[in-house]
This record gives sequence, C-alpha cells and structure tokens, in this order.
Amino acid sequence: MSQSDEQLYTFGLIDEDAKREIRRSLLKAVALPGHQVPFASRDMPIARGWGTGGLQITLAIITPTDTLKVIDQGDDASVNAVNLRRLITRTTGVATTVDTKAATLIQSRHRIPEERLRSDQILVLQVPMVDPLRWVEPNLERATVMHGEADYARMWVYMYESVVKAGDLRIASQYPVIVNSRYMMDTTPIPRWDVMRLHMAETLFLFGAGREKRIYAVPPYTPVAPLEFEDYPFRTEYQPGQRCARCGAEESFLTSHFVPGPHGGGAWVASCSDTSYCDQRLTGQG
Amino acid sequence: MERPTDDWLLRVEGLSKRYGPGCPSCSRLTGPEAGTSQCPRCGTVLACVAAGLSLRPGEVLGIVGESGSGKSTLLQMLNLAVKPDSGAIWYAEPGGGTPIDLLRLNAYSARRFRNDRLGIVHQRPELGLNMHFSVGGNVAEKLLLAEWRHVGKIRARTSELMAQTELPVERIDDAPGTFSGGMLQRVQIAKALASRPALLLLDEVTSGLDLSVQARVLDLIRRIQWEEQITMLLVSHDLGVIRQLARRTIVMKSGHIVESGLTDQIMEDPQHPYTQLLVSSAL
Repeated sequence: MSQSDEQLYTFGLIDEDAKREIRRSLLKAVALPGHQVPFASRDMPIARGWGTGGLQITLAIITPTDTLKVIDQGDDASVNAVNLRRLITRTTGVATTVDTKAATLIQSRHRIPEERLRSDQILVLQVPMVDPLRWVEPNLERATVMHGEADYARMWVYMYESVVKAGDLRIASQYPVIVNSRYMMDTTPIPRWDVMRLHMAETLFLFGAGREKRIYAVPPYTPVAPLEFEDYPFRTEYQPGQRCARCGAEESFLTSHFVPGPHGGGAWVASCSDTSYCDQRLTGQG
Repeated sequence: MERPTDDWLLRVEGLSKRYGPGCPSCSRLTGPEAGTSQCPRCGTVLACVAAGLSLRPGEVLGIVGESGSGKSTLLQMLNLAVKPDSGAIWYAEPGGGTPIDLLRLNAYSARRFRNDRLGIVHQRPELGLNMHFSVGGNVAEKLLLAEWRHVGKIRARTSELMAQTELPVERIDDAPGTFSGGMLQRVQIAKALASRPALLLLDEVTSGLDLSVQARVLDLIRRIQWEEQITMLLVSHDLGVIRQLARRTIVMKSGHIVESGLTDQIMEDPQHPYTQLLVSSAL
C-alpha cells in the first residue's frame, strides 16, 4: 500500500465513531448474553449478506498486534474467506494465519474451529438471520416483546410440532438455544455439531448481522442450553463410523463433496470441514 | 391489605378504561342515561367506568349487555391483556392465599399469571388459537409454557383434554382449519383447561354457532364446571346463555354496571329500565 493510499483509510477501514458505536453495542451484548443489540450497520465494500456484520465487529475490535484467521464453512481458502482476509489485512496490516492455535482473532462463517479455543482468543461469527422467533412470529415488534417477557412457548410448540411431524427434532442448523437461562438465541450459522462448543466456553463469541443491524454475544463461561425434550434430546450430526477421507479423523464435523473418477463417474467423499485442522493432522501424521 | 372477611377469588375495584384524550364533559355526556359510551364533544370512548365485582371460588358469574357496553373490555382487563386506566384487580389463591393486585405485576409476572391461573375462550377461535400449529400443538402450548418438557407426557395430557372436551383424539395432529366452529370452541376450552386455571374467562363462546352446536358447547361448559368446580366469568349478549350457566349476573350498558344480583332475581324482577328491556326482549 502506498503512502497516499494509507492516508485514505483509518486503521481498520471504518471511521472511529462507527467503531466506538460498535464497541458500545458489543459491551451491551456481553452484559446481556444472548440479547440482540441494535447497531448502526455501515455500508461496507462488500455486499450485505456476505459477512458485513462480522466484518464490522472484527474491524472495530482488531488491534495492530492481533493475528487474524478468517474461515468460511471451516475453509481458510474459500473465496469469501480470502477476500475478507485481504480486505482486513490491507486496511490494518495485521498478521494472518490459518493455524487456529496461533490466531488471536478469528472471523468465521458457519463453523467454530475444531481445536479448543482459549480465553485469549475471540471468535466473530457472521450471522445471516438473527432472531429464532422469526419462524413463529414474523412481526419484529411482537418478537421483541416476546423476548422481553421471555415468552418462548410458541418456539417450544414449533419444536413439539417438529417432533410430531418428523419423529425427531429435525432442525439442521440455526438451532435455538437459551443463553444464561434467559434469552433465546439463534446459533446461526453454525451447525448442531458446534452448538455445545458455546456452552461454558473459555472464549468470547461475538455475533454480527450487518443486514439485520444486530449484534449479540456469548461471553466466556456462559451456560448455553439447546431446546430439547426429555424424551427427544438434542443430538449433533454425528454418525457412528464417520471418518475423514483425508486425515482419518473420527471426531470432527465432516462435509461431503463429489470427486469425479478418472474414467467418468466418481464418488461422494467426506472430509473435515475445518481444513486447517485436517491439514495439521495430515502434517502430524506425515 | 387485610385478610378478606369473605372468601373471594377475585375482587375488582373501580376498574376504568377509556380510549381517547378525555374532556371535562365526558362523564356528563356518556353513560346509561345518555345512551352512549362515546363523548360527543371529544370523541373519547369510556369503555368501562368504575366497574366493581367479586367472584367466589367455584362460582359462575355472567356479564350481559349489548354490543359496545364494555363487557369484553372488562373481560380483557381481567385477562391482563388490556391495561386499565385506574382501579385494582385483587386475586387471592383459593384456600386463604395472600391477595395480590394483578395490576402491579410486571409484564413477565403478568404473563406467567395469565398462563398459570387464567384460561380464556374467545368468541373468534383465531384469537385464541394459532392456526399454523396443529390442534395438539395449540393445546400443548399451555403445557409447554408451564415447562412440561416430555413430548410423551404432553401428548397424553393433550389427548386427555381432547377427550374431556369431546374432541376426536385421533385428530390431535390435524390443523385447526379443518375443524368446525363448534369443535374449535372445544379446542379453545381444552387449551384453557390445560394449566388447570383458577379462573376461566368465556367471551361470547356460543355466538355464531347454530343452536344444536351451541347447546352441546353449553352442556360441555356446565359439565366441566360441575366436575372441576372451576370459577368462571361468562360474557354474553344472550340472556339465555347466561341463565343456563351463571348463578349471579351483572348487567352492563354504555360502559357502566347498571344492575347486579342473582340471575333468577334479575330475570324475574329486573330493576333497571335497560335490564327490563333486555329481559322482555329475551322472553
């Protein structure tokens, strides 16, 4: 970056007033775990819905000494992750890494890394849909009152109907949880596999939704309980016998992709969604 | 407040609700004598003015009056769904509980109270039921609010309630839209009974139903009242319905209670001109 380019931007692209406003919202979100805090979501040089909420949080809290990791669906090399990483590094100059253990600030979409996060790390999640009550109450004003009064019966009926109609709690992602025995929170965008990683974790989790202009948080050591019934408990996507085709991991979240054969045809192959974790296991084994 | 000398479940004192800014002429230009609850000067509606009543455990109280007389507003205030401008609603748990003023509860406690201790059956089923959920889901909502977290037990209790209210249990997972009007009223009653409420509020439950269905719903309410000894407050514009169910009745007109007493007494010897007109019209 040339000197003239540097003068065009503040550290972290967005102006200081915007950062201050986001930090205040973050403080409120941390003070009220699971509560959706409105914030003045700025226009960003990426389209709304592509991670602007997470990006604004990252830019508001990042410091020059941070080491950044950006992942999308667990992948460090996907187009969205690469572009976000490039934008953040060009406007801050911070060091980047793909190693979860080396990162101090991680921005993610759809995944919490497989490796256990520490108390000196912060995970920022990009959120497409904020309110779990959207499924049962499309009116935002009424949903806000329902959150205020902890009136979650209708969501419980939704879960009950899910069991009655499908025979089990068939909610793949966006699994609703109760945070700190008070607020119902959407765990979007992480899969069920990662939901329990939020419970009593050492790490601070920050959720940003740029399009819906909301921030919420799960601070360290906060109880997070998925909605479940005594006879239909919460379950992750784990399948007995599952195994990563690359590194052989049996206790990681897998994604399937189609690998074409050399002479036509092909096969579906399951491998670790967290590519950094998978690569490290391969290196370690190698 | 001192311990009550008589054994009441609910006591209402000076409950008032108006819609509009109000003006000094409102009280003079509205009421039973003026024949309207709307102030001709400022347009304010005095929906309910200084209403007072008490309900004993196991009693059925009827509220009768023409459309716009304020009976549904009074019922909605008792359901804690409409906030009164003034007055008090005292509630004492049967068996000598300490009276509490329900209007002093915060929104969260009021909602808990409404779910645990009150049941309501609306005139229009869509007000009391979520038409997107199944019938079983609607009844289960009350149980889930009361923190039932076992699907098997919820379904067993829901089936029991459906059988009690003469609904086909095999249709537990059907949508309310596939049920008839009379059946939907029974679904509402099943839902209202789910939390074993202390007080059941019935708002024009038989309006819009044909006579044979109306009779079955009334029979059901009477049987449930007999079996469960549940306290009921029944709002209707139909004196025939009130006479069948209520031991005591209050008569409302233009936002005011104009007469109250034993239902038989009111039917046989009405005192207020409006009640006389109502009784003579019914007979």
